[in-house]
Amino acid sequence: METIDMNDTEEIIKTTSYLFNCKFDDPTFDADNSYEHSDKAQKLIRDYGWNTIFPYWFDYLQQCCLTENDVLNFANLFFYYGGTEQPLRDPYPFISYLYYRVDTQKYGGTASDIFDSIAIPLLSNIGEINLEKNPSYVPEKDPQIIKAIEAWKSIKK
Amino acid sequence: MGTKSTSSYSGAGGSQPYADTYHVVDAELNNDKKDPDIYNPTTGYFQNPTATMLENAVQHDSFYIEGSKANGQYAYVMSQSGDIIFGKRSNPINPLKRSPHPTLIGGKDPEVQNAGMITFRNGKIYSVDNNSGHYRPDIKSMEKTDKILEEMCNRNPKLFHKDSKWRQ
Repeated sequence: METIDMNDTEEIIKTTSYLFNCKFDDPTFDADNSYEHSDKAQKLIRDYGWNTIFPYWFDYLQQCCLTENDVLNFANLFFYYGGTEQPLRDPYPFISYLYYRVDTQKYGGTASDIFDSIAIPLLSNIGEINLEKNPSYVPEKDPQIIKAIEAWKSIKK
Repeated sequence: MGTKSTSSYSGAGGSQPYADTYHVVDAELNNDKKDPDIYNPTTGYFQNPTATMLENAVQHDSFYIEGSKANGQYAYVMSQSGDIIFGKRSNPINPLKRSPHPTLIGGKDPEVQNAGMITFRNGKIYSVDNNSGHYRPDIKSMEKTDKILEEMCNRNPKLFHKDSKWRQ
């Protein structure tokens, strides 16, 4: 496990805030073929390692994304920054947190499409799902995700 | 960085034999026929309302779908006429179901030249694969899709993510 000092922590927190405190659907966000935010995210992961960075990103989601739209914005940014290409040994807490915070039946495809885009690769990477065998897989009906959502509900009461 | 395979599929052994076009695999078609939220006995698969021809989705060096920049994984098919059609996986009839690949065309047993998932990041094509449980096309069919995308990249490389294989 990498050790980081106070300066590193401050740097990670500051960069995480920079990366996620922006509106993904703003026309000026990494526009005109700029990859400014994406490159910064990639550099952060390279410099400190995903195992160090992911907890900060997940913490930002929980502490700073106060509305459902904030969570959707985070999800889009997380995907854009390549979060689904990074290994997560146990992605259930993270995935289920997204569904816990946003009712996909209310938001429809606006939520389920980006959440699927996150959930499916993360679960496939650890061999939990196989879309060839189950092309109709729906995360909201996955018993493990449902169980994890209930766990969030208990914690957050 | 080339196309990273974050594969949701078992790969070798699961595909149909190579063909110019593919029908929906029997097991999936038979399953879907039992589901009125996906298949109507008279008209077949509903047509996914988000189904968009790739060529028509371009605005200002980015791909858009339903008014927003494409970002995420989307289903796509390559139609018999050679068009790449992509769309959202969500099901407009039942939010607890999804829209399988055949709904990108609709009808009783729509044939395609290829099918899989196309990944966009902030409006740019990042990767494409042949992962479709409904069509299971042979990997050789990717040559056709790759050729179209390569031609598209030659015309406008800015439509492709700088880390995609087409920009390497």
